Amino acid sequence: MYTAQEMVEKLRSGTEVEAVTAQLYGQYQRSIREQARKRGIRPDDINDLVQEVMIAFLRNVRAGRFEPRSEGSLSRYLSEIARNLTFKNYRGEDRRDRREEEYQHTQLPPPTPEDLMMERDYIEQSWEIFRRLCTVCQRILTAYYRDEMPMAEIARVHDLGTADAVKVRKFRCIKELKGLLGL
Amino acid sequence: MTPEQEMESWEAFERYRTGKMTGPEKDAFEQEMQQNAERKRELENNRKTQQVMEHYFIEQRMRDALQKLQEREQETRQGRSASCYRALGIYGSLLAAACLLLYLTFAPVSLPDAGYDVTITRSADSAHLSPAQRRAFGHFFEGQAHMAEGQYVRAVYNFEQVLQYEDLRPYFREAAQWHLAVSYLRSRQPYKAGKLYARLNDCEVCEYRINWLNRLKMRWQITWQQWMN
Repeated sequence: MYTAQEMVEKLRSGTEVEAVTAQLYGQYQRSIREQARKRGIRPDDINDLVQEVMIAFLRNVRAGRFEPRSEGSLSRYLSEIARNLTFKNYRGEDRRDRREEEYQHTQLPPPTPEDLMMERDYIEQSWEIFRRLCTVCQRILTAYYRDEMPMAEIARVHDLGTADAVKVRKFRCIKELKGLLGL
Repeated sequence: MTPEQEMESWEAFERYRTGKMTGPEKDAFEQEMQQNAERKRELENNRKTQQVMEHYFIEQRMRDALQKLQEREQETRQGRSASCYRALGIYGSLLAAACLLLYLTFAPVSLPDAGYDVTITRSADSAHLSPAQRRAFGHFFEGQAHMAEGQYVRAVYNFEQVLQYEDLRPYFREAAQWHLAVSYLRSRQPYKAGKLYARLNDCEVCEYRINWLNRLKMRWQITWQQWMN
């Protein structure tokens, strides 16, 4: 079992991501689900919400926006993310009237620090931008940088000719990615 | 910069980033980054690109892990539901079996209506009944009355008296035997009840008909009492 600080450090360094994910999921998914149910989120959407909360947490941690002051602060932070995501993304047609009625006589609360933290930045863009690369580029870059496969192995597994051909292709994919980033 | 130069530049950056660049090459690289603004900007762009990829892969690992966790939970939930249903099925069956046993053990054996017997037996012209037959009938209905009052020991006496008379119609004899068997059972004489029941159950042409459910009850209650004794 990792402390909140340890989990944050591991997510930042990209080590033991699976173990940290399992611990976060085991510790907090029930409370997120409960929160979602109370807010009337459909059961089919709750799994997606749990995933999005975890991913949002990961992004914020890696962007340096969250520092755990205590074990409880992590729980509260996740709860805040869940609340924001619920308001922003999970607005079903059949709940629109209810929501409008609920807020008719009240002012929406000012944005919290977490609200401001949720604005898009390059970390959040990473997922969407990388997925815009062609499939072959995604495969090559994933095989080389994530799976640390040698060029020859990549060429064989993905049927891309020779190691040199993969090397050139890899660089072109990097250029394409830079282009998508506007660099 | 030509494409080849660009590629070399990227590879230099990767060697530098991963710590594979050492010694004079590293010093020269760092110096160039400090002095050449364009190279510095290029290094920064490379770093940003690298960070985007790094974050993508970490996020991908988290998403994959979450999917596996949710799938496993789903499987566990389904497995638990299946186990629940199986357990319910087993408990339900056990409960049904227990209820059946309780019913068989405690529900009284029902014999055909005595009123009907009156019609059959009494329909005979009382003027033509012999004294012995008249006494037999009297014992029979007295036995039934004792049974109704829960006085089974007395009922046993009555029906035993009935069966001492030889000149009885088969229907009447069988009726008396069944009543005696039930009275034995109710007066806690299961072995006598069992012997008589075995004889009655084996009859080929039965006049006094007892349905299968009451026979089953009789058989079970005899067996139960024998066990308990």
